[in-house]
Parts: sequence; structure tokens; C-alpha cells
Amino acid sequence: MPQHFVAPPQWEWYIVWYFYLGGLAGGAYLLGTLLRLMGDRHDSTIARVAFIIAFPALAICPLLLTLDLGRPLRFWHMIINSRTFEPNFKYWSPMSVGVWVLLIFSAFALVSFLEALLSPQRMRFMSGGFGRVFMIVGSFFGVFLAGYTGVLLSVSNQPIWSDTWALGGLFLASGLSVAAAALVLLARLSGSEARTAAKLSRADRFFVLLELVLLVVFFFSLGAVGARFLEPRWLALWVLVLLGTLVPLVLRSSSHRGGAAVLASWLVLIGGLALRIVVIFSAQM
Amino acid sequence: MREVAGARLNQLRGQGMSEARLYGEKEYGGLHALFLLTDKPEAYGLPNAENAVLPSRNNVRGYLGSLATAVLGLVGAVIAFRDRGDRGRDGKE
Repeated sequence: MPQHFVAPPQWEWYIVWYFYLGGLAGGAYLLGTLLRLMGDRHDSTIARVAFIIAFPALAICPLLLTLDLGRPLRFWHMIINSRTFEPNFKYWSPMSVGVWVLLIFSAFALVSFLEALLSPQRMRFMSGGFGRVFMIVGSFFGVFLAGYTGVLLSVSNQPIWSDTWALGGLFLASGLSVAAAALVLLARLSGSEARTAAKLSRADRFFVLLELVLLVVFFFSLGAVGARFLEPRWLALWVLVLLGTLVPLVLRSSSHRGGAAVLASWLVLIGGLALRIVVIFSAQM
Repeated sequence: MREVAGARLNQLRGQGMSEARLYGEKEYGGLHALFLLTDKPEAYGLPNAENAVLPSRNNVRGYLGSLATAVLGLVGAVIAFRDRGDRGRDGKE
């Protein structure tokens, strides 16, 4: 078993919410893109909603990251070399890559947000082939953002995080699931897009299944270290994680209607947050 | 600094400390700090070659895991989003 020789990085609530909202934003952008590319006119409202929620969720992320820094005013050192004043990009560091991806994805999310809010006539350049390519490229960065958060933990020197390579996939699957669940709830609120909500529920069934498989891979990759997760004080959070995966999987397999879909979505939203809380806090305590 | 450390190392070995060694010069790509040890690294609570691994080993594997998840998630979403028209159980809502 590897030894670890460093103090915990003390990543706490700001990082929990950054990971959660980053996953939601990236997932929502991808789902909005897919609804636009594959859907019909019935899906257009929820596709717009996806882009409308992606940017505000994302806009909070840099704020959370900056607040988490011991000296927030130095945030710009992440993107600019303070000596040469050239861009600071380190491809081998997920932290550096992530900051750039956050920046680039923000630009995509902002344009799509404005396009979703404004009438199509005001942003004609987003219609047609250019708009489709724009969304696809934006989705790439969104998905990257949702997944890199786990890779960031895996390459740290913190026990548990660095004992597995599966966190990137796990957080990505969870982010996709959280985004689908949020859109199902918003579709239900609008009341008129039941078919779109059913499509999102079916997609979420895949995402939840993927998340469960990756949870198993995660524990297998941890080996004996994983026992630390299962200490009694973390069990309540693990119960929420399981309720946020197993129950939605059953509910979404039997019905995409009314109360069951709403309950499944809320459980997914809570379970996704519980997953990040337990992974981040239990490793450092 | 290396010369001073090397001289001190030779001095210790000359005094019969056969386990004496420099630590941090070559280990893990260089630690930017030198330690003159008179025993094995683990006696000082330092990692040795067997039990120490660099977390960066998870970099490529982590990204590959994310990539595989993204592909599977995308395939799942595409399957789910295929319009089932009125044939689908859920399309009648």
C-alpha cells in the first residue's frame, strides 16, 4: 500500500459545490446540445432551459475556486505567469488544465445562454452548421469540466483520492445524471414537455447505471484503503448516495411519469451532492 | 550543495556508517531538497522506492476513465433520445 506524507489540502465546501455545479453545467450543456441535434420542436423548450441553467451554474464556479484560495486576489496566477505575463498552461497538471477549460467553457456557455435567452433573430450566427459545431465543441469542454474534477483529486497526494483512477469517470457519470435530473424537474415544472422529460429520464437511467458501475470500480480500485470510507460517521452519506442511484434506477425503469419521476430526480440531485461530500471530506479526516 | 553533501557522505561512510546515503537528489525525479541519511529512508518516515508512488500516475488513467465514461454516457443519451414517437410507452403522456 502506498504511503502518504503530506497534510490534507483542506478542500472543503467551496470545492464540493464547485464540483457539483461544474458537473451540472457540463452535463446540462451536453444534454441541451443533444436535444437540439436529435430532438424535434417539442424538445426545443427544454434544450433552451438546459443552456439557460448551464451558464449561471458555471458562473458560480470561478467564484468558489477563488474564495477557496488562501489569498483570493492571487487567482490570476492560475492563468497568467506573474513573471513573464504569458499564459500559464501546464498540460500535465489537471489543476492548470481545468482552469483553462473552465475559462473556455464559460465563453461557450455564455454565448449559448444568450442565444437561449434572446430571440433567434438576434444571434443568427448560431443557427445552421456553425451553431451545431459551436454546441458540439462547447459540449466537449463541458464534459471535460465535469470529468476533470475527479482526475484533479486522483493526482493529488491525498490518500484515497490518489489511490484510485476512477474518480474522473465517477464524477462525470454523476454530473450527467444530476443534469438530467435537474432538467426532468424543470420540464415537469413547465408542464408541457412530458415527452422531453421522458427522454431525459431514459437518459438518466443510463447515467445512473454507469455511476453505479463506476462506484463498484472505484471501491475495487481502492482495495483495502476503501474501508476508510465505510466508517460509521460516513454511512448516512453513503445511504444518500445509494438512494440517489438505486431508487432512481428502479423508478426510471418502471415509469417516467408524475411523482415517480420527480422523486427519482430529487434523489439523484441529493445523491450527487452526497457523493461529492463523502469523497471530499472523508479522505481528509 | 551537492559537493558539500557528497563530501559529508564520504566522511560518514568513512566512519563506518554503511547505510549512509543522500536522499532527494534522484528520487522521484529530484525533490529539490537534499537529505543526508544515516539509515534507510523508511527509518525516517520517508518513502522508499517500493512504497512510494507519484499521484501523477493517475493522470492519464483518470482522463482515459473519463473518456470511456463520456463515450458510454453519450451512447446512452443518444439511445435514450431517439424519438420513439407514439410507439413508446412514455410518448403518450
